[in-house]
Amino acid sequence: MVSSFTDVLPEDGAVSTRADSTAHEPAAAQQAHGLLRLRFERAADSERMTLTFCEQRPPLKVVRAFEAGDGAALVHLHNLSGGVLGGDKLELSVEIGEGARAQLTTTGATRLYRSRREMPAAFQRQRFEVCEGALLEYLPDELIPFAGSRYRQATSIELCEGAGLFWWEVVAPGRTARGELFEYDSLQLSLNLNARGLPLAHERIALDPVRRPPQSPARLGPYLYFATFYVCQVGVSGPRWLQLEGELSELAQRLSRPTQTLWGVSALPAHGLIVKALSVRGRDITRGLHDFWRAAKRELYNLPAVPPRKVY
Amino acid sequence: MQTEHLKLLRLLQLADSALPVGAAAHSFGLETLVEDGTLNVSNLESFLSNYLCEAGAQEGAFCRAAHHLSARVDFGEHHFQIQTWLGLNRRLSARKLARESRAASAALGRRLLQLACALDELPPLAEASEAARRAGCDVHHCTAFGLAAGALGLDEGATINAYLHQSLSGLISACQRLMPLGQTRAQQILWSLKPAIVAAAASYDIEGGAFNDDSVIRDSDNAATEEFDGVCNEVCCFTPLLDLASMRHTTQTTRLFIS
Repeated sequence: MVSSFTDVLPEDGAVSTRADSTAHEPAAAQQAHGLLRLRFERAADSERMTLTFCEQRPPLKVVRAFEAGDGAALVHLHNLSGGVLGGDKLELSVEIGEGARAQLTTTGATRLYRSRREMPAAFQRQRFEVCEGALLEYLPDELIPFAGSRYRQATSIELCEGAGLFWWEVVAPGRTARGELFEYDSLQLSLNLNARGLPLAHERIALDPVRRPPQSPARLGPYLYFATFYVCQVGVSGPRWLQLEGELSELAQRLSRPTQTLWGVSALPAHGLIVKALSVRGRDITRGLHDFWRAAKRELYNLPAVPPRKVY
Repeated sequence: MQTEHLKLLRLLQLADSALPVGAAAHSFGLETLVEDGTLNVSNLESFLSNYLCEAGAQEGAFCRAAHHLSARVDFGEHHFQIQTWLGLNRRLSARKLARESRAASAALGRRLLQLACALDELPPLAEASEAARRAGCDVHHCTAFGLAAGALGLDEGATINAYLHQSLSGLISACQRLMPLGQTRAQQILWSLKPAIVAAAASYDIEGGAFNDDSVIRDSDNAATEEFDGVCNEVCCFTPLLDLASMRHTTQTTRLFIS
């Protein structure tokens, strides 16, 4: 059986950050325990969205919030280590207050570095709470698991009445430019997406390339990258989601090139839909995700999907 | 001994491919994989072996949890836990991200539960069916199978294995209609994958066999249920190509199967 997804991170102040450690200290002391707690709110007397609370502990860091093109608050998530090292424990906790809109992205791909044998797998816990009428757009760059890396990630997303979500995740097979494919030791990703306490989507992925060949036709087949994109708005009716599924499925058909990239769309049990992709090229997935995001945001919010300001 | 034989015969009937629940109308995405050339006779056995390791293990874990729910019901202090039953099915719905396959599983589960109610008077089954109907909650094939088998007092391990065997048999049967797969080769595949079925059924078993010990169950029924819940929360499944195939099946122009 795979390790539990429900690890508990240490209490505040109980551990040192990697910045405190030296090369002579034991391995455990070199583990980073990063923390980032953010809260976004809508100003009472205006349309302005602000980052009202920010608690951070290295290597996770946020510099400031910017105004995104559609009026949302945009935040870039930094990892000062340049990536996730073996044994790291990272916690990201984000609350989007009532009626607020926030866009979160990373400054680059999340690199999962090779893990030393004596280190436990790196672990990142992510919690998102989207309050009534709020909107979260979580648009990170891809995860790149390096050869020998071990990583676990547990994500929970809670949506309140009227809350909206555009959330994607892209996973690369490794450092493809070096010809490194599926050489990581283990990659475990768990996601609980709930609306008003009811489960919409639960994913538990355990990739162990040695024991479970990723390129089996029951898993990735001939494809290398995989991506998931959730589109939700709590309260929108089931028939409307089926209609949107049909519209986005046409886009999926247009973007799909069998043996190169496949796209698929499906309504969730309620309040949303999922877009899935497999591809031999990461850039095809990135381009396609932006196409689906634009189409879905226009349909649901009648707003433009403005890509976060950064170097692409 | 006669009681055991009776149980065996009941399990055989529930797991019979001729059981009229509509399983033969579904390929769960295989039709798309065959259509686009990803799945063929030469890689079918390997595909199904990995399928069992992922989706089979997941279905087996939920089947086992449902079996536990009904097997513990008696006419004394152990009542059927309706909210746990509904929660189990809702969480499995959230695991099935492709709408068509999710709907297929729910159609089979609903029919199986209705049929089981018509075959025998088993209070938890009627209660489970009615509660799901009232709550607008899907009942999945594996949970309905586990619930019915548990209510009939059928062995837990045998139930999970029988469920996965009939499920695999159904997929192979669908493949016989989709690709040039002869009867002998189909039977060879089903025969050689039996160890993979046993492995999938056992992969998320509760360690230590505590649930075979009546004294443990009697003292901690709720704790046991929570443990089964925990296993269902942990079980992993990674079949993105099949999920995508099921999603793309809705737009396939010529279709032999509903899913």
